[in-house]
Amino acid sequence: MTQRDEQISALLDDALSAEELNAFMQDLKRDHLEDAERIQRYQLARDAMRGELSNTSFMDVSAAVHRAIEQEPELDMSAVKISAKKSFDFSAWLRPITGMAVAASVAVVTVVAFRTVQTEVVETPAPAVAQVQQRTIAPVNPVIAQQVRVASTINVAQDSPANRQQLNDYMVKHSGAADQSALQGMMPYVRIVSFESQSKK
Amino acid sequence: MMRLVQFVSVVLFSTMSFGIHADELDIWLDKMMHAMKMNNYEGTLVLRQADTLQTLYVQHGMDERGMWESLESLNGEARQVIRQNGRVTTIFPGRELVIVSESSAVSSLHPSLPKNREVLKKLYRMKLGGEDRVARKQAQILELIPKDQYRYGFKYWLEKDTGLLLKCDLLDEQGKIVEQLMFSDLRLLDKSPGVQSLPEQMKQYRVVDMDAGNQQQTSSIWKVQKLPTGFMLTRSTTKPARHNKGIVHHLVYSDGIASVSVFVEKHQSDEQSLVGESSMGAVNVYSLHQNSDHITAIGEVPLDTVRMIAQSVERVE
Repeated sequence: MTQRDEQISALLDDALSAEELNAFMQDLKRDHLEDAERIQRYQLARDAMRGELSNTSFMDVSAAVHRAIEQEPELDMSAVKISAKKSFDFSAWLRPITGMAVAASVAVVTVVAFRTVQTEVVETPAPAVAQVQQRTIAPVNPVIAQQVRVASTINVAQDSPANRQQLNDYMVKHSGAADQSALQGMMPYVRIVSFESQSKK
Repeated sequence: MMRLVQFVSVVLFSTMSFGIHADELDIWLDKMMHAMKMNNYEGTLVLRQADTLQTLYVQHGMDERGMWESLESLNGEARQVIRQNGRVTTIFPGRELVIVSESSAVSSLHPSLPKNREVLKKLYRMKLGGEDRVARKQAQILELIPKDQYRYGFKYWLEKDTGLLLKCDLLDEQGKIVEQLMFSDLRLLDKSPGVQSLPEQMKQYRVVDMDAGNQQQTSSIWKVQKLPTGFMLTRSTTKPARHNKGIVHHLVYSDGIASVSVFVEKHQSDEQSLVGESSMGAVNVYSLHQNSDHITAIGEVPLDTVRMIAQSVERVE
């Protein structure tokens, strides 16, 4: 285990002091991609060991896919393209990638975990209130999980293309407004670029 | 007599110190606001939200053509946001998609709000912290601690010479970091890095104009009845919804630092049924149905705040 591995392990266990965390983040510039992948692998492993592999495990498939594509010029791109198109519309808040993607020599398992947030109905006699379906979260086999190089799990409030599009529209519009009316500078746009979503229970 | 002299000295010194401190705070806030717009720089920015880390490559420039800024994700899905004089272009190469919007399409109802220090000081306790080193640069720490539970605290690390924001922590009521933004590498430039033009292949991408249709400042028929102290209406617009054929009312409330958007539109179908809470780092969302309307509050404030705001939206015709 390298020193960097130890640092990442400590980071995920919340065991880094403020100074160590600072030093860690300063060093991120050396290889952002590698660190991001390491963090995701460690987190997955940690969750698997604790039996907590569920909807809160965060992973990201895209970096590995991009690397695989870069390294495999004769890769069958059609599969990747179709996958991208399917999740096309505003995957920022939720990136529901269904099924499995295998890219040449790099096996990339895409894990989907949706979580339904509680549906609170406020003073409405309206018949239009949605009945949100609870989605069953498929447990991830730890053996398979160990083969997962990078995967993607995003928690979802209520998954539908319309909701996704609506939420992202709101986020973009809010960012423009926040930039104008508050002392925030680029921060709202940083959030757009870094879109990921976590729903809360 | 000696004690009286000592007492007066202490009081005078404390008053003077506080005065100097208050002035210094204002100077640092001015420097920060100026530096964020006027400096030319490029660097690597790290965003930490919960247990996720994102890295972005940032370029910022100001010249005779105005302000230009580019934010590009270095990991995860390829994304780039380019801001130029209020025009915001978000590029998703993997999806062959370009989204265009105008952040300055509608002027703020309270354009001077961020400069209104007296209001800010009623909402946040401000203090100068110590010094630190971020991205190889000496930094002055500035803290804004909220006086209630409805907003996050902010801790800024500002570059000593220019006031440029090097690092920012958003803190919850317990002082726990909910979002952290930090330059890991920053280069100050003598001149603007130059406006990037859209690469040739991107000109074939599908373009979505978020501001298509009329967007205008209106007197809204909707009002938030329960707002945290200091939040003022800064924007009220109505425009056609992009995702359906209805109209979206967009209200923006801000205390000068934090802001919350409220969106109200007709409930279209069960398919469009976002209800409850979501979050992304420091940004929280709360949605509900009210009769035939769908209401969503979204902002970089605690969840309780967006919930309170969303639940108190009323029609005021």
